[in-house]
Amino acid sequence: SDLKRSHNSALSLSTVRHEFDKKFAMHGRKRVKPSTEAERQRKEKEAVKIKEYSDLVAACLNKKNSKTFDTEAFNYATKILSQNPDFYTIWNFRRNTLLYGLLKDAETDQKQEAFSNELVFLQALFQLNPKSYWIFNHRRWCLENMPYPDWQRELELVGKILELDSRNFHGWDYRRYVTSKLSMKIADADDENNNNSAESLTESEFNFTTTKINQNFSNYSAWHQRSKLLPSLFQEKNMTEDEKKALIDKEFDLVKSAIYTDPDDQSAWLYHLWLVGREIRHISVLGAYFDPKERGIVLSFDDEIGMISPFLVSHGSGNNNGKVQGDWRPSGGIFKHDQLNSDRLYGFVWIFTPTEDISNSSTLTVTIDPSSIVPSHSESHLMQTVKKPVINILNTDNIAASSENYASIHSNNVVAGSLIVPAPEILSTITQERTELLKREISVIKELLDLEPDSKWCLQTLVNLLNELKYASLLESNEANLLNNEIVSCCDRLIKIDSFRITRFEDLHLSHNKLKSMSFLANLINLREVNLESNLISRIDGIRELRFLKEVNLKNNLISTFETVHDGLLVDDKMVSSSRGDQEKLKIHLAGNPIIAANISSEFH
Amino acid sequence: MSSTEKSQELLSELHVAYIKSLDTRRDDLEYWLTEHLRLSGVYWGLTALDLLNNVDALDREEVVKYVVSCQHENGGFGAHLRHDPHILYTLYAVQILVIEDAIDAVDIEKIVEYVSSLQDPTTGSFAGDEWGEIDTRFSYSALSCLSLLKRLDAVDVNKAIDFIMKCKNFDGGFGSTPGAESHAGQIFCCVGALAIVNSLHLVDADLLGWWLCERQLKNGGLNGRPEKLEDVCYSWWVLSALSILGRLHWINKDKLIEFVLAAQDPESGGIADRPGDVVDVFHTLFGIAGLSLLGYPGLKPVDPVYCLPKHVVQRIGLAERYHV
Repeated sequence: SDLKRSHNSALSLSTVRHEFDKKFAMHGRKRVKPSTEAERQRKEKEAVKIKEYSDLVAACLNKKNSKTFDTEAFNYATKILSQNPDFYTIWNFRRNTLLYGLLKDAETDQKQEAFSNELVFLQALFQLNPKSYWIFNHRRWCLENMPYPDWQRELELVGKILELDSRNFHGWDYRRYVTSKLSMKIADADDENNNNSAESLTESEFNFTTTKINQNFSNYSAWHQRSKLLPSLFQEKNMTEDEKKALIDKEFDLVKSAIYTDPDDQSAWLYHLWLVGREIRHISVLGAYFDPKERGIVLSFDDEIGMISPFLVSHGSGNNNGKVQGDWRPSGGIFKHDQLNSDRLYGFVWIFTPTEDISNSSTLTVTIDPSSIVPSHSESHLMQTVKKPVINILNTDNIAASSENYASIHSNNVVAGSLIVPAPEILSTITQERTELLKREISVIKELLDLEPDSKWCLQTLVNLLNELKYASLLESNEANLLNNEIVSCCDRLIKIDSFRITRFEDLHLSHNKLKSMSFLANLINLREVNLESNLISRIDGIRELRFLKEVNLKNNLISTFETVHDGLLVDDKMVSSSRGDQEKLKIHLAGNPIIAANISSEFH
Repeated sequence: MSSTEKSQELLSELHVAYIKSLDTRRDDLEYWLTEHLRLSGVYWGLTALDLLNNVDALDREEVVKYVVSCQHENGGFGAHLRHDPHILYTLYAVQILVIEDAIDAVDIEKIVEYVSSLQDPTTGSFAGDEWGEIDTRFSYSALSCLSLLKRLDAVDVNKAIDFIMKCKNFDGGFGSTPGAESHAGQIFCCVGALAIVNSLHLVDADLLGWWLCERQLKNGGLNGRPEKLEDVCYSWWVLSALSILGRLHWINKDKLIEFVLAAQDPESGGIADRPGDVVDVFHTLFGIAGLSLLGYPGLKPVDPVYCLPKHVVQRIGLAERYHV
């Protein structure tokens, strides 16, 4: 048939194409300075080819413009694409030629044959261009338009592609496409055994990645694919917590083999961190009250947050009553030029000024939607699984503040890696289990580190795990301090081993703690207690004017002097202010700060 | 000067000459085989020239006339005369016209219509053209194009973001479609797109920044994903993403500059994918743009989100959407 002839000539031309391809690919061509004579000869040869090619293209595009979808047009397309598979316009024309010309009124078997020939043609082109988007696009189109596509055969084909080059992402993408078609086909064909058949495809794909990884632990593409399949397995098989845990433990074993075999390969390390997961950091509301002078609500967080959408303020208790109209702004003119979004304001303290009369409401309610907050660090994840705090604020000049002044936006959940909801959780949410897991993995890493003291991936992973341990457990400040010291010493080692990324390691030992200053507290005139444990605060600041402040937890910070609180009395690890007359004495907890270690207490009385 | 000495500095004049010469190579078969890169080539060349303070080296009127001739009735642009419309070339067209301050030469509404017609209302993804290939490259092309035209209202931005987030991976990176492996080019597209629509908070900046800075190899060059070779074009895709995320300082700048400079052709100008290879205008742009981000002297500042000279982005009145 005409189509067959056209394909055959294409195949012979593709060997000619091979030479062109080597010369004209945009990557990996060595620069050679040919002699003038060689150049002249080349140009002479090419002049002929240029004429041939241009005439061919002109003829083909003429067919296109006159919508002549005949065999001659199809053959032109074959010749052009054999030399130049990136000429996407001709692929488009080829498809139209088939649709509106050659196969317009064709019988089913005619169509099947034509498309089968297309697949053969594409396979030949693919050998020379294994990374062309257009070739894969046309292949998909053929399979989607042919009467009887053989998806199983496509799966075998892509297996071969990945054997040639196991990192060819076009191949992996095509494999995902083919398996999705296969699973739809299985689902359609076999409604009763639906789950079982579809399952086995996920499982067999999972096993495929195992094979690939065992062939080569550095196969990042296979580990990546595995990270997609593992959660699917959990879902499809409706696994119990114990079954999940068993499977995950097997994953940890696989990773362990990989990192011991080649500690320098990043794939297994990144997969390992994903398995371990990261605890969502919580942001707390430190205080909230109604300020009669401002005639507005003052709200303070322990992170410099950005507001995506305004917090809802309503009359009365609860948020079912009418909304209070007004505007939010951060206090203190906090507009940082180095924010990720220069048109979003950030601040620790936010003030709401009502634009309507609120004198009839004795209570106002602020509802904070966690998804309306942007943390200052990406580590403090947006918390989809978090409870919405509802803060009741007494609209009164009488600041007998209720104990409901403090609310916390908490999450107890651990989300493995950075899977976005609705991905299923991989690990249990019980804190103790998490701590055990972290400690177990930390000891595995440390064992390897003994064998490979200069392994930067080992050290980086250790830093990440130690940070997670800090967050996972309710640690006394001394333990947290020890962990911090370990982290810092790892970073020091990393700086020596991996000099290109020095600034990242320097950032590392600071980035997991948020606060460097407590001066923003000065705005919270009704603050009674505040927990600022495990931050980077080096000066006691901002609390001088806070008349109602009773207790400040500053454990595990970087305070080394008392210059701002001169009349303090240091009792054990607490400082007690004696200057407040009738009021209760202010207690400041200072365990785990350099000042305690320095034992300055003897200088005070 | 020996060739090793030459590679210590940017050979600006040679690069300008190289770019100007591109359209004169009609006796090379390669010129004819790469017609589908013509409009792209104009964008790459023109942007490089502007960064090199030589935007007038290409005749403005001719450039504009050429771009206009590539527009189709449906508003989309093709790679060259008689090439079919596609979202990629539509973005290039708009970028070129914006540099030349000649956006009024074309039917803007039609462009908006064309681009918005390519969005899948269910998934939020964008197709490249009527044939339906889906890729986050096209999400970036659409959002960047519409942003430059101040018409982001024409598409469902939230759905577009949803689709991009479905392409996020275990390593914090992004792929071409849901399930696809992280790749520096795709990461640039996704991070750039999220920056344009004010949603960078959805990116794990520390995790992704780490993955990106690990692209720097011993020779100072950057690769596009683990275990791959260094390449000057990744020096752009990786660098711009790092810059947007505020973590440009996580790579060794001096070594990278050295690498890019070594990839120049000291005789004919232009920059290649790596030292010693054949140059092309694609790598010439990305090498120069990378150097600009790294603060190399004598170059105009480049915007890492739009991959356009900053002064052009400012002239249109678009806010800076990245970490300074």
